Amino acid sequence: MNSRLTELFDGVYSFNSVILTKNLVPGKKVYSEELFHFNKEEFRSWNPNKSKLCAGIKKGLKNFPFRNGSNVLYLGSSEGTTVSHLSDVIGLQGKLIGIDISTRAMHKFLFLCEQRPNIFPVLGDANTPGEYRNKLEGIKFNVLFQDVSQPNQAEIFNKNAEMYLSKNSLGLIAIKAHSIDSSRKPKEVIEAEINELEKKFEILETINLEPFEKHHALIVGRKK
Amino acid sequence: MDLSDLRNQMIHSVKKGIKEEYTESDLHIIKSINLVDAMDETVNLLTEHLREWHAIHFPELNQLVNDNEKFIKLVAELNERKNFSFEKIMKVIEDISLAEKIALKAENSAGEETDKNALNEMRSLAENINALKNQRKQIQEFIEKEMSRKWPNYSKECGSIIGARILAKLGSGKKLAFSPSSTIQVVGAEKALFNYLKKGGLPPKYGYLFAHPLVQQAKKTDKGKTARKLAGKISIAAKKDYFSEDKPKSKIIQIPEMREHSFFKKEFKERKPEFKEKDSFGKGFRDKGRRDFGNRGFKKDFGSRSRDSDNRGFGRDSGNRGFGRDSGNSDFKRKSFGDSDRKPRFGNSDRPRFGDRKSFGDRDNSRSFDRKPRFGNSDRPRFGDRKSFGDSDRPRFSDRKPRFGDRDSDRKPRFNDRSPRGDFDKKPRFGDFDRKPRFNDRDSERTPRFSDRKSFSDSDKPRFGDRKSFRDSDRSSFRGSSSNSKFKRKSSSRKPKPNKTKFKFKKN
Repeated sequence: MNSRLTELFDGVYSFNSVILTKNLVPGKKVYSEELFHFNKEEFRSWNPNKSKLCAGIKKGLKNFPFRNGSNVLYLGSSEGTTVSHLSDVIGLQGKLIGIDISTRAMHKFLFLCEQRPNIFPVLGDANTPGEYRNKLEGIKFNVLFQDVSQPNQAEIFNKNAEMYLSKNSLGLIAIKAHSIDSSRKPKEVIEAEINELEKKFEILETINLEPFEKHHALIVGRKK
Repeated sequence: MDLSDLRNQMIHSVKKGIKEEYTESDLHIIKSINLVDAMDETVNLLTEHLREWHAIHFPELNQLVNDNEKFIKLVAELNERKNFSFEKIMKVIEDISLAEKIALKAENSAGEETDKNALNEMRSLAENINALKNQRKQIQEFIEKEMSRKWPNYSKECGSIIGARILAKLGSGKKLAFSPSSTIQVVGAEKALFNYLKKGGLPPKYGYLFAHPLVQQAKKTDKGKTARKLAGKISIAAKKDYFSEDKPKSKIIQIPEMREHSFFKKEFKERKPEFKEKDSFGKGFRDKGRRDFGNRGFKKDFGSRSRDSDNRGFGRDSGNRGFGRDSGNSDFKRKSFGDSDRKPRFGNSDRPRFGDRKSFGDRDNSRSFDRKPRFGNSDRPRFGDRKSFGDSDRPRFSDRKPRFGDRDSDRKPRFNDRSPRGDFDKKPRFGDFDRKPRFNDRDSERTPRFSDRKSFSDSDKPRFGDRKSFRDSDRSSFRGSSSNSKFKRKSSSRKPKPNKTKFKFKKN
């Protein structure tokens, strides 16, 4: 138990086995997280049960490509729990474009956008990345993050990476085995998806997200 | 800044997209059907609270009135015990017996005299519950209106509420129109479906469609069929509604309703071949038993048999049995009971019954002991038949010397005079009996027993029982054998020998 504030990555801290990010908008909460105060600075706690990135960090993620000023393409932003922490890390100089297909989730995501100036919303289907190409003109992306629950997850990842991601940059994908095929064994399913991803990515890490999520895996890859 | 312009544009387009999706969507139906379920639960919860609370003041009312509606009405209009007179109760409920009982108990009640403040709260709670109930009814009417307006054909095939439930589960009208009929059949039974997909077994036959009247009225064997066929028609109707541009009622296409479907017009007989009886247990036997033979013929062939368990007072087995007082030429004599003769019914078949048999097949004729005996087969050896078991040499009563009185002639049969039957001298073997071996069932060539052992293993170690002599291994027997005096043991050998030298001197 670390009773000291230690920095794990750029902008990500840990205190007593609780992972924190520095709050970009001090005094305001996004969801049911807790606020911590150290040295007149405010930090927000990150819940690994709700966020798959945080679960990956707790299970020993080594490659954390989010930095101050990086441009992130986030597929499957939903209501914005993980997005808020990433916007803390990126800072005001970075950009995060969040794409989601459901209107109900976008409703709540819009409130986040009004709070934080570095989040850009898009209502569209990640399966057809050509839909929103005009909106994303002129932005170079450093990182691609995906958290959708669709049967063709790897395909979506590859398509979007081909169009938007630059060479030798990292991409992270959270695979949910049950949304692909709930009757097969999760290990087989995940291996099949990794085989598909290897066509465009060189895989660096595969992390099993138990006990935070069942039959989930977080995969880190570098674009070829 | 360029960024801020871009951002504002993106936010604006998102808002536009949301508005487009929300206009003319089925979300009102979906939200309202979820509300209906939630309202039912809350109304039940609140009535429970009201009952327990009001019982402090008037507990007998809680016990007497089981119906929730009546209870709430009574509390809403007549709250205090004083107001519960027969006439006032009759205005609220139209039940004479109940009103009498309540009015009686109101005078001598076990409850306390509560303040007006608490009673006012109880009354307002009852009024609010009534309002919730009314709203629930209104919402149901709203659902029916909306479904008939937006999905006229679909709501005609399956009812408006079942249709709304399926819509809500699938999520949108587009999904409903694009989904195959098998999903519509099974929507609502997801747990069973995915259990089947993962583990195997039988898939579910129906989900929400179980509540449809046609499925409920169908026979057990036909329920799955009706659900499947219904789902097919429903999916057609949904597609028609989704893809048509104008939806006024005049354009409803007449899809043949399920009741007129040919499937339901066929009767049981047309669908399946007639139940044919076998001749061996068929009409020939039937007529014999009833008309020609009487009592004896029936019992001779099939033994005595109690029909009381099968006699239900109606059907084939009741009525005239063909023997006894009631048989014979009487005007009331049914030869057949119509369709029930042919249709298979419980107690109807002429299958052989447990109590009928005396023997089965060839086993009765041969009296060989090697074949397995069966119940009722009189040839099997019985426990009391054995004469001897094993090698025991103990004297038996049969070995005694003959005595006066044991005359051969005019002798009554004795226990020992019985003759062996068949291969009876052979000892019964374990496999011949259907009972577990007993201590007295020992064989001559008997299986080795624990007490028979001389050695536990192949060890060559000599045992105490193996010894032949105490002293020399040459000696053959313990006690000495008289045959060979050479090895005869002398009694003096045990005694301590004195120290004597052996010397012989011979004198001529």
